[in-house]
Amino acid sequence: MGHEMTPSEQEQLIQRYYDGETIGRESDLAEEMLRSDPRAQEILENLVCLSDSIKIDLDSVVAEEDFSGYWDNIQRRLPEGPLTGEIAVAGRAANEDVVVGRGWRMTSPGRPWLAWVIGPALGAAAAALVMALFVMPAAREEAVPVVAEETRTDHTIDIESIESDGPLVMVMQENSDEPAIIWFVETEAEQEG
Amino acid sequence: MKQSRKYRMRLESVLLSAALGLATVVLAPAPGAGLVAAAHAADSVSVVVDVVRGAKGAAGSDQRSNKHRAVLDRVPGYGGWKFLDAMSVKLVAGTTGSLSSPAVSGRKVAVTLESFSGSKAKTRVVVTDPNGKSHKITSTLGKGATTVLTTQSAGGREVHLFIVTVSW
Repeated sequence: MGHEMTPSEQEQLIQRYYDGETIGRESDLAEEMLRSDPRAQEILENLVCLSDSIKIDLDSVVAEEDFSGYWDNIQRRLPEGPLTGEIAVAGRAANEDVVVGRGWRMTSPGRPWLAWVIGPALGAAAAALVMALFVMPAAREEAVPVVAEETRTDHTIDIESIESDGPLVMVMQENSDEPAIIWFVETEAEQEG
Repeated sequence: MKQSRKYRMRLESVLLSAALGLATVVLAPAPGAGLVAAAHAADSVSVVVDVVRGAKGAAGSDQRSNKHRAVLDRVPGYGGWKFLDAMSVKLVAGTTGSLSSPAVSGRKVAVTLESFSGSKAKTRVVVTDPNGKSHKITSTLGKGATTVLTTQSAGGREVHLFIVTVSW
C-alpha cells in the first residue's frame, strides 16, 4: 500500500478484517491502522455494535414467539394411523399447501393381470431349466447314435437275384458309403420284331 | 396391513400361475416323443422312390435333382437331370405296393416287402418299361439304405433313375 487510503478504502479494509477475510500484509496493515488511527478504531467499534444489535434483535424475536402449540398444530394436520403411501396421498389432498409428493409414485401399480403373465413365464422358465438339466441330456444321449446313422448310412446291398428282359444288367458299387446302381437296358418293341 | 395383504395375495397368484405353467410344460409330451413311440411299435417299412430322367450328352440338373447329386455324378455321359416324381408306399412283410406316376412316362414300379427283421428289409423291386418288359431285383438293405435302378432306353438317348430308399 504505497498510497494514502481513502476513508472508503479504509472502512472496507477494517470491515474485511473484522469479518476475518484479510490475510498476510492486509491483516498487518489493518492492525497497524487500528493501533494508530482513531478513525479506524471507531469503524471497528461501530461494526461490533451493529453485530451485537442484530443478535439482540433475533434473540428478542425468538423470545417473543410462542412455540407451545407448534407440535400440536403439526400433529393435528397429520392423518391418523401409520404412514403408508395411500395415507401420504390423502394428506396431500387435505393440505394442499404442503407438498408431500406425487400420488402415483406412492401407490402400487394397478396391474393385477401382470401376476398372471409373470407367473406362467416363471413357470415356463423353471420348466425349461428342469428340462435342460434333466431331460435334454438323456435326449441328447439317445439322439447321438441316430445322428451317426444319418451321417454314415450303410448302403450295403445283398443281392439275391436279378432278372431282366433286356440285353444287359450291370451292378455298380465301389463301397458301402454309396448306393449301388443297377443298370438295365430297355428293349424297344420294334427291335424285337 | 391392507397393503401387505394385497402384496401377499399378489405373491400367491404369481406362485399359483408359476406352478400351473410349470405343470403344463412338464406334463406336456416331449416333441416327437409320440412319433418315436409309434415308429418303434410299427413293423412296417417305408419305401420312397424318386424318379429322375437324364439325357445323353446334356448338362446340368434341376433343383430337386440336386439332392441326388452324388448318384447322378456316377452316371457318366448323361446330364440335364430332371426330377420327375417322388412316390412312396408303406409296406408290411408280404405285401406289394404298385407305384406309378403320369410324370414317369409309362414306366411302373412295384415294390414287395418280402421280409423284415427289424434291422434288414428284403425287397423285390420290379420296373416295367413302356414296352411291357420287366427288370427285377431282389435284395436286402439296411435302415435308410438306397439302391438305384437305372433303365437305359435302347437307343441310349435317355436314362431313368429309380432311386429306392427304405426306412423304418
